[in-house]
Amino acid sequence: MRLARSFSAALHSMWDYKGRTFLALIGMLVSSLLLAFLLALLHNFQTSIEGQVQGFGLRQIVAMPGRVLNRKIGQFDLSTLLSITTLNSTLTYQDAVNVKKRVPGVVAAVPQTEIVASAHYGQKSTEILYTGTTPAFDKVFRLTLAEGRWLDQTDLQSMAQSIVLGAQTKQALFGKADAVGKTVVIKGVPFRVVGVLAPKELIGFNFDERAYTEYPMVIDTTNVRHASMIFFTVSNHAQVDAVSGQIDAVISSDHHGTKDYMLVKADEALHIVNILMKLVTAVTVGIAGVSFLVSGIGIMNVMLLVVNERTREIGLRKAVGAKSYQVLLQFLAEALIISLAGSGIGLGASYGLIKLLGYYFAAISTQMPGYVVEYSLLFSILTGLVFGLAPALKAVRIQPVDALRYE
Amino acid sequence: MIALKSVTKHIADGRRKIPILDDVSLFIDKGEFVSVIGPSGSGKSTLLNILGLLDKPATGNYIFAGESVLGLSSGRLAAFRNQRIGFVFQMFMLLPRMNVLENVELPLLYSSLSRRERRQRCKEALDQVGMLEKTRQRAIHLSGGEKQRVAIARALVNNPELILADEPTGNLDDDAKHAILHIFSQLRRQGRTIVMVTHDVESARIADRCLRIQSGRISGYDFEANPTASVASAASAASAASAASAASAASAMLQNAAAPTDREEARP
Ligand SMILES: Nc1ncnc2c1ncn2[C@@H]1O[C@H](COP(=O)(O)OP(=O)(O)O)[C@@H](O)[C@H]1O
Ligand SMILES: [Mg+2]
Repeated sequence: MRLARSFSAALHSMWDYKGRTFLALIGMLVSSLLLAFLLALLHNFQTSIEGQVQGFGLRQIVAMPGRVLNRKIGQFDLSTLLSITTLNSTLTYQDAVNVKKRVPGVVAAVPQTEIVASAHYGQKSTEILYTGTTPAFDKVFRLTLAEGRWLDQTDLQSMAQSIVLGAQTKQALFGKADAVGKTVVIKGVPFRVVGVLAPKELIGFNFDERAYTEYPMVIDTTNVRHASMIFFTVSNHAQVDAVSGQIDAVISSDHHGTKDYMLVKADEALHIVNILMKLVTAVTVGIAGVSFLVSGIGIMNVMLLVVNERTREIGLRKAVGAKSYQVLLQFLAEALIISLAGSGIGLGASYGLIKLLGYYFAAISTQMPGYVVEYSLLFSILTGLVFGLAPALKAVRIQPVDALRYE
Repeated sequence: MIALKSVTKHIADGRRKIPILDDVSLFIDKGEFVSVIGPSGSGKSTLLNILGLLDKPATGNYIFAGESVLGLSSGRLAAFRNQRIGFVFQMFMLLPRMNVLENVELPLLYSSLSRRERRQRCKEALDQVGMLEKTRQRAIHLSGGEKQRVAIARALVNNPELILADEPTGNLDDDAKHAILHIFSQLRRQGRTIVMVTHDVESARIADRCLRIQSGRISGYDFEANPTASVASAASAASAASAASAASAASAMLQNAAAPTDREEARP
């Protein structure tokens, strides 16, 4: 009851100093917006990546060309990044076949190789990633087809020159028309379209701008000799570590002991993502902390000014019976209201921004997790209380006789 | 009701002590209306602030309704001011952006009364000073006389045992002054204990008795009679509710004040 009166007195006087209250509120708004938006963004980024890694499957192990990855992180530059191509790879189709044959825990071993090429249909042509793989590829990535079927064992064995188009490729060559049964020419070779993929988004991968055919076909028609990656599916999640060791042993002996490749497990990737996210989150909270500090000082200055101007009112309130704690509460309440209102608006705005971002980047989720709201409110409450204390104490120290003296 | 014994107060100016109140003793009965008259700077406000528990003397003693109050904690003093004293401050001291009702309600915000009880008390107090029609008006838009009436209502709203008024007619024109004086004589007739500080002789004369203060010392009684007795009936006959009738009643009263009556007779 008394507390409610403190808040009502605070609201009343804030209304009298709208302009300044608003300025103090803006600082808090920006701080909260910054904190909530960045935290929510990180959260959504992380859950999106995690979701995709998990969607890709925790039973997956990927073999990648290793020269780059054997370097230390600090040594990365653009040229080393560009060297992650099939041209630098030493992985082969035979590696995949050998692993499948010799490691019983592996249920699928799917190589992939690719090169940029033009695809032609009638007068139309488009740049694509001309990709070779094997029939199990669609299971690994859980691909869905918009039309037709995926490559099968017969295609592979008879080198049937069948091709499956990514959604973007099909759109570029055929528009809305059916593609299945038509003939597309790549590297001078005619391919019969047997299927078209539905659009698919997975961070770090590209499915839509490709055309998939039998792996040996790509080797025969281009100067590419190696696989860019090999995807292994392990029968049981619990066995991933053990199986990874066995895969390593097989490839290593095939490569005569040269460690020119690297095996990446899905949960390892998740672990790295987690560590990175923790780091970035800590930095974000630090930056937002400084911002809260600045806006807290803003609130303090505005309120010191207001207390100064309202010396008479405070003296009068004390003269007619306001106790020290009631004066203290009134001004703490005022600081708290400013910071909570600013924080509330900031939270609303960051929610709007996150939704807006999700509208433009469909692969990123648009949640506003509870802990982000709690953090922002906690930060603003603490800021309000800490920086409201000095002005409130100043108000408490005002003596009625001094304030009411008529000059 | 009130006893002030050998009270002194001084301010420090560098190393020198400048006395403001010098050995002031004072007894006021319950239901008595006392005025204190003295020139500007004589220590009137300081005396009233001590009586109102806003200020503490350097030495001396203060008994309020049998209780020695100088040793009370600041919280107890605040409660004392809130429940037992009504103060009409020098220069109105209203909150300009608040309306009349909110200004009068201010002391009650620090009481335990419910919203409804608070509103009821405000209405009663505003009725007593004839300001019931302007409750929603902002204080800043009121005339000087109206401001003072609101300030008096605020002092009455907690139904105090003691009313203290610091130059309540000081900044008013004659009509407004007479209206305010009329209100004070009405309060006196209700049997309230009042101490009014003024430097205006005409104002001082409506009290039961008047103390003269000079350079921080009580220098004697100016008079000890109650001139209001003879006009009490005339004033009530006028049944002054509006400012105009209140003012005319007050001036009628002051014309009659030339013939002082015996104080004992004036007591009902
Ligand atoms: N806090 C103070 N600082 C300086 N001078 C003061 C203070 N309080 C009172 N005085 C001085 O004490 C004297 C009495 O003041 P006051 O009680 O306000 O007189 P009055 O109300 O009779 O005009 C004045 O000379 C005034 O200047
Ligand atoms: Mg004075």
